[in-house]
Amino acid sequence: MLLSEIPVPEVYRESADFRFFLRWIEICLTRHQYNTDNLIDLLDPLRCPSQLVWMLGDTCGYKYDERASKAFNRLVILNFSKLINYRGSERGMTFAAEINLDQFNLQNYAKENPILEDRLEDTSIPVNSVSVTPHVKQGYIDVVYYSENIPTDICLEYVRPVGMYAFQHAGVAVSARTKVSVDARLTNINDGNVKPGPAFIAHYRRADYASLQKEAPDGSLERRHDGYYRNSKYEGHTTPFMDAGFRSLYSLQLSNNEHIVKALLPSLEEPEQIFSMGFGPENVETVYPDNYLKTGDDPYYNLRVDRGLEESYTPAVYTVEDAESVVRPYPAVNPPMFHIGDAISLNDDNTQYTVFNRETGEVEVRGVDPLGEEINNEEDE
Amino acid sequence: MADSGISKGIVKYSSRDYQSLLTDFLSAVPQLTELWDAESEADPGMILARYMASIGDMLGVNLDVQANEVYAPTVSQRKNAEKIFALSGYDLGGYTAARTEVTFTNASNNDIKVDFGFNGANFCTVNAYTDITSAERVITYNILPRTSGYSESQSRSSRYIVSTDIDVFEEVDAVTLGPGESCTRVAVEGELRSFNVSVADVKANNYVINLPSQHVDSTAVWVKAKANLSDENFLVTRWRQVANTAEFVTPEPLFAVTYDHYSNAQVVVSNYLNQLENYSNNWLIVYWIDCSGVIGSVGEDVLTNLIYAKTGDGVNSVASDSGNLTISNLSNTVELPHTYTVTGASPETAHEAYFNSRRYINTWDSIITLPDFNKFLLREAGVDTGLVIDCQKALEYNLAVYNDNTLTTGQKAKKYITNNDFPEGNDDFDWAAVLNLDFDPSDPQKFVFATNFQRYTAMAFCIHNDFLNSSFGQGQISNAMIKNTTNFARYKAPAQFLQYIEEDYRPLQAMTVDLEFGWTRLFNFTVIGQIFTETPVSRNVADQIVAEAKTALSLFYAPANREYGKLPNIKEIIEVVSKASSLISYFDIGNRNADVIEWINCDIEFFNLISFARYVPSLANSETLIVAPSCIVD
Repeated sequence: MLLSEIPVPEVYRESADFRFFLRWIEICLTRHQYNTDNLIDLLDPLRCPSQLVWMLGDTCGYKYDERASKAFNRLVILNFSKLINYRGSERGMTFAAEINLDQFNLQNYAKENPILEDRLEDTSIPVNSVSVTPHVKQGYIDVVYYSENIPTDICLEYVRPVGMYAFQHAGVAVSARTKVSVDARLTNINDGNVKPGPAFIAHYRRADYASLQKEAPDGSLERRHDGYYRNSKYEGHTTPFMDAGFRSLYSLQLSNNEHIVKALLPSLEEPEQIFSMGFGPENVETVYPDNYLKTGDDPYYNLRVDRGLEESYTPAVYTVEDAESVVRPYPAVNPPMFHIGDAISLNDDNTQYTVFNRETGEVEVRGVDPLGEEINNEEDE
Repeated sequence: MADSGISKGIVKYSSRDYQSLLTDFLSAVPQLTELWDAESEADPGMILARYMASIGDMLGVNLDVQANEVYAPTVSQRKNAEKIFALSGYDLGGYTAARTEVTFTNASNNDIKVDFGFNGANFCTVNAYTDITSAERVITYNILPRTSGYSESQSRSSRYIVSTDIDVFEEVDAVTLGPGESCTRVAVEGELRSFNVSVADVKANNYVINLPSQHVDSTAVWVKAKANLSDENFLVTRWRQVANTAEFVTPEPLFAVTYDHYSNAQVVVSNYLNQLENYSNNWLIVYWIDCSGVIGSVGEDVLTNLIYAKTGDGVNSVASDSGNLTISNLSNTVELPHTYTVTGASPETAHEAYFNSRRYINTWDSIITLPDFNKFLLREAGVDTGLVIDCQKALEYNLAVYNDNTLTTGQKAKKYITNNDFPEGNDDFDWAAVLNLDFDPSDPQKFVFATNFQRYTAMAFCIHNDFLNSSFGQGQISNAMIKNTTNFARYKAPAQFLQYIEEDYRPLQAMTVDLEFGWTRLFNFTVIGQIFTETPVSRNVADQIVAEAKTALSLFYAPANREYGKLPNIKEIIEVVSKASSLISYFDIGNRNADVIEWINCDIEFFNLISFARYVPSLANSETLIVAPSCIVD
């Protein structure tokens, strides 16, 4: 409110009282000017005054949910019309579950800065971080959050088709068509121009990746993320610092997706409890939610690869399974290298691989047919 | 704006009224100047400050009012409500003419020929001579030709305008009734009126025809055309009504009824009018029903005195008072699903529109989710309040009870939704695994709570007509079902009413689930306490105060004003009773022997999501609400 700029005879301005009163009025009415100028904020989920968010939600048909923070409610209101448009569909369920999952992000932001409990600064939704599989015949929808905890369910009811259970889990869902691939491999030069060689898996975070891409300004070596370093025993030579040379070896396309990476890694202490494709995260340093189901001795089958269902979508299912049991699907990729010297292909057809014997510490050679079954355990070179 | 930073915090955020603004202004003075101080009330500076505070107060109030007008829950002006609710596709209701189904039965031994056709000026009419308050008043219903009961393919839950499907100006609607036979027609309350306007005038007025009436039911408006006003016959062009002007997409003779900024109904004609050859010299005649809104509603079988529109040729020769042609009608004070009973209504207020629009948003013809089903049920005619749950919701509720640490195991066991409330489905899940629990809660050996509910089922619970029975005309009465059990009563709305809801649901073709109706857990309660009056009152006045308080409580706890799963609380009881009469000073809750909320023959720990608390004004053997003896003078 620029009252002081209103032209008045100069003689008035000479009066201190006049100048004071002008400024007084100006300052005192500024609040009203602010409110008037920003009245339209009432309809903006990001800028709506805190105490009015519930009314904005109600206006568009969303019932304010006290269980989540204001910032999260703002996020839901922001996306509510889209939710309603998609309701009843798999896409809608996925979208709603992804919004639910964003609670964890917002909680973390609020820990850093309490004002973010109310203010929504990051409007992004964690895409590709849930899996929704409808099982129409059995009457349930499987919702798997790729997280360690199940978020409070606030959005699903607005999109969930009536009459079906919606079972929610935290964990990993890998379907037969999920491509778990490595973007850089250690490949024997002899294997050039043949099938892809053995895969070497390690843990890699996006931050680490970024560190490798660009060195620190002073050229110092940065410390690797613990998750990365933890698996370093498989590397053969360990270093707690970043080595740009490893980038080509260990970067995993699933970087920043710790759960899948954890899921795929064996543990040195319990090498038999390998979280192979198809099993839930057992003893792989996963922090379980309190109510997480822990079964008995056998690793349980968590990934819900339903081959029949997958094949009903398309016959082009990329998994080659062991015929004996559906719970031990064998991926149609080369065996993972769990130890240096492991799983190196020895011929052009990829039918012979090296196998590292943990008991003897020696490298043996075994033949493996393309289905992954051993065809000759005795064949040594 | 001053950028010195001093403006920050000078006026507090909470200062909105004159006094608080003035205080803030004056406390700001020392920060701004040392040359002036508010020494006397008569100081010109003080006058200026008071003037500013007054402006600030006024601006603040206006701003707050404007802010309230932005949101659906608080909007108060109809013109603003129209715009807000239009965003979600909801149109505010204008006048609604009461409608009902009238049945004519041949009570003689000979055939009777009747013709309900339009005579060019009038429909056949029947009259009621008392209104629903038993006051004497003539209420006229027009019988629309060629209409009958709802068909299997119609639903009240889809948008439906009478005139789109039938030509109500049909000149012949002849029926021959054999002895004992009957036929049904839809009747609309009000007076048929018309307005002639030349096509040239319509074009000149931007295709808008303003109707010289405010009591227009927008679903009972028809447009006909004539070459000359003196002609007896209409032109063949059939003007069809559509829901709104956005549907003027096909080159057809279409019109829509809209409202201007003052909520006056107007007819907007498609500009296809311009394309009709040799039409400019014609006349359009707009017919509408000038209705009386809510006071046009009638009770059951009160319509008499059939006045035919047409006579001659052996038809319509039987006088309605001869006893040979009996007339019966459905009551439309309570709407029934899947029938043409419509309670008359005055224009919706912004606040009413808020509640009704919550049941409307995006649900036309596409009910998919639980909120959709709840909206479907709640907007269904005759449903006071209701709730729809499905297997997942029931399971979620049981899990929430299980995880509620404030309840003992015994209390939890009473609250769970059981398979008596919601039938069991195929048990093909490993419940311990899917629920991430260490045990199977529904294991028969160590049963904790039910998990397995019928899938693809929308389980609806609803209350109809304030727990009363329903009459479906001609002596058919369907009784409300109430069973008393040890811990609570179980209630289900009349079977025929529920069947009508299902018949309304079926044409929506929501293929996902079956609609089933469950038994509501019903908990009766009464309110106990003493009313203290401002001044001593006589015993008669005391009785009147008690009656008023009970009426206020009955209204407050009427099913139409309440929700499922909501317990009454003491705060609201005190408020309701205290405001029931201006003579009441305060309400002292309970007495030495009883709490203020006395549950009658039930164990309230069984109250859960599918339960309803029903207020009962009186108990058989004891006083509930009384005026304190010390306040009564004989």
